Amino acid sequence: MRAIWFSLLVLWPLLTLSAPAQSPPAPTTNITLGQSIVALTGPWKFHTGDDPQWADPNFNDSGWETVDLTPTAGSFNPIVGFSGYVPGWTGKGHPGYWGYGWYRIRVSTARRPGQKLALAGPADVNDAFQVFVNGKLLGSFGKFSERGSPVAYMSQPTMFPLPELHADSGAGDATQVLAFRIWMDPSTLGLVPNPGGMHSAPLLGEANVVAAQYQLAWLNTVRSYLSSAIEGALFFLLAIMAFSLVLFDRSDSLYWWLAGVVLLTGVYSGYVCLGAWTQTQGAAVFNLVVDVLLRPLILGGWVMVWWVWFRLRRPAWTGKLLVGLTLLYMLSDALGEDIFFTAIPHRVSVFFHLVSLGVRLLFLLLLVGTAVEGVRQQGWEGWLAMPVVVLAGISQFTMELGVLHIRIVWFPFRTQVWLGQIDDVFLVAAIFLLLLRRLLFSLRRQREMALDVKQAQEVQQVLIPMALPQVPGLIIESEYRPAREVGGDFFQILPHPTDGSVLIVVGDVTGHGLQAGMLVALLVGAIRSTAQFDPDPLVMLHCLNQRLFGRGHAHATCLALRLAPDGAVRLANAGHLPPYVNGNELAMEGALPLGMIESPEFSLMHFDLASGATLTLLSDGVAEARDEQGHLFGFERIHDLLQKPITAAEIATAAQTFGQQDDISVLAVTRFAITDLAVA
Amino acid sequence: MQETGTRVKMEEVNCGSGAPITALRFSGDITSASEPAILGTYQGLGPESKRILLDFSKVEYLNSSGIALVIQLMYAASKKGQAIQTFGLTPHFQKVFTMVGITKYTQLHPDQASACAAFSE
Repeated sequence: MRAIWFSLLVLWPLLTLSAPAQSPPAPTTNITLGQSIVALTGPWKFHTGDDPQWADPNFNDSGWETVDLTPTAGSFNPIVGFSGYVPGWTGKGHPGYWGYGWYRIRVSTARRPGQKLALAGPADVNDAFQVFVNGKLLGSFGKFSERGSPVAYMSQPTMFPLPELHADSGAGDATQVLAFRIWMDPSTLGLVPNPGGMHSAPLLGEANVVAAQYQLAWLNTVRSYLSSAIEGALFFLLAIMAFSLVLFDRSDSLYWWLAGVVLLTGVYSGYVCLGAWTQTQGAAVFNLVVDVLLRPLILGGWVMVWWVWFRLRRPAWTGKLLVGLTLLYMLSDALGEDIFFTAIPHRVSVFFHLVSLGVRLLFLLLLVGTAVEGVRQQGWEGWLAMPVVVLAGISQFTMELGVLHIRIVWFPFRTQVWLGQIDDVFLVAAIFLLLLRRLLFSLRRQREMALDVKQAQEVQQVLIPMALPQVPGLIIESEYRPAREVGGDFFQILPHPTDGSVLIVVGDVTGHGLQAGMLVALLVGAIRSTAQFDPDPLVMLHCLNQRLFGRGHAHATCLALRLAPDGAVRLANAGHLPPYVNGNELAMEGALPLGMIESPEFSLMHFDLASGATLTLLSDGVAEARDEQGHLFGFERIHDLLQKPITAAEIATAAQTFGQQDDISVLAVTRFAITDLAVA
Repeated sequence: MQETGTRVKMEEVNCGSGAPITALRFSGDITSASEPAILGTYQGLGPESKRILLDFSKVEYLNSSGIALVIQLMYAASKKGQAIQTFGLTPHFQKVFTMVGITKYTQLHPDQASACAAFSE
């Protein structure tokens, strides 16, 4: 029984297959084959040198060496990350060779009537090429001219439609000879490992399939340099932020250096994208801008940023050393990268490449030395900078490390990420943290300064009399409106203890703010102490002049007067606005302000202030108030104001409303004879 | 009112006979921030500049700190025996210059022609 069941199980598929169909047949899916693409891996015939006859399809290339462009499994371009990387001619028996090389291949294609074929050039090639089909130029990558070397670009996808071989028949077998004339710049020798000629096979196939591959290759190229574009955008944003910091604090050179160096880094990344994605920059110009100009400037700039950041001062010649090293770096890269190979022999270039290597080593030492000093002086700020600085130094040797097959670039999501870019990420993070700390420190300092200003303001309120002394026979009003928290105007009213006279001193220290306020404190102290010994106005001004002279920018206009009980006034002036009596300006000779010269001659006058007369003393903040259109308040408006009874506060308000520019102080003294007051 | 920086244009002026005259033509605002423009420019004059013309016709504003700088210039010039003539001041600032004693070191003129002529007097 078991044997019967086993037999049925084995025979069941045969029984089902041999059973007659009971249902109608399923619809047929039509598949058209033939849209194909082939990688022309070889065998290629290869020869170094250059001869126009090598494009000829009948040329006998049997004596040339044979090259296979089949990549080994898992191989990739060590710079841009494209898979399927084949070493160039320097890795295949022609080390150190640069110049022209020819690749030839004979292919036989069978095409249907009307079928169009196209050729995709090698996606990865050093550096420029022309492609010939059966001796006729099909197209090129790079600029070839009759004279001079070709202009090369960074590798980009290319596509060339193949001509119809049998125009009359439109179909059939055709043998074609493809010849690639390839040029490599000598500067490429040091840029990538195993350079020279094709690093990937050209593709031959149906035109629309090749076009699809061409588009895909462009997408790969764009994606490969996407990290540079992102990096460039990031650094441009950082540059905007750094320049904003410059606007906040122009005195701090750190922000200038930081803004400059991050802007250059942004330009560098943008320029790399421009070179990779367009054909606007030939390889020679590209190398000049990137390697000769931008890279040395950025490196020198970063050393300066850290130098300034850590507030290092010694050795004092560091700045000159940096300028010298940066210029030497530029020169050695210009001459050491074979950019000017038509003019400068290769052995000279090798020498300068060694110089460049030495300069970069010195920069690395400088960077590390700066970070070590940073650690010593700033503690953890230095430690934060250390890895960034070391990576930045090492990333200057990417070319040498790459040639030594030490990995310097990675390809997450098929986007190239260089060692230098990894450093840039750390750098941005470190700069962000350090700037944040600096901002917090700055805020704390601003709070302390605001407190200092507030305290100075309080001191000034003590110095400038808010409550005026009661002087028999006089009605005194005052108004004081500083332009900033601490003012530079001052006045003192000092009644004599015995003879009934009063000494009035008004003045205006040049400038305003804390510095002016401190000078006011100095002058008020001097006025009070001098008045105790000699209240004479002229003596007072000479004494004050001695206090100010020789103190740099310490200058002040000042007017001192002594008003006797009988109305006799003795007045000395040092460049201050003349007084007004009953609205009329008293003409005075001009005199230099205090502190200008050692022994000035001050103007002196005497007059009587009649009973009922008002003496008005103003600071120049009234006359020089300025409106939005730039018009001055002026002396005429002052004169007009004083033609009718007006308080000191009203005068100050008029000027302030007009457009206060400077401290405003107004002092009005009205004299009444004691008898008049008694009658009143 | 926003302050504008100080600009100085230095040029040689020929006023008829005699040696050329160095003209310093100021414009903008003259304030405490004008020291490099005022004193720096003056200090940059060579010893051959014996006659100096100060042109304030394009100055929009002068405050007390700016006037102090002008006085310092005048005083330094008088020490060196240089002759200075000044023109282009508005009536307001002519009065202010007179008040602060600048007229001890220079004469104030309404225009360049009269300032030039004053060198020959």
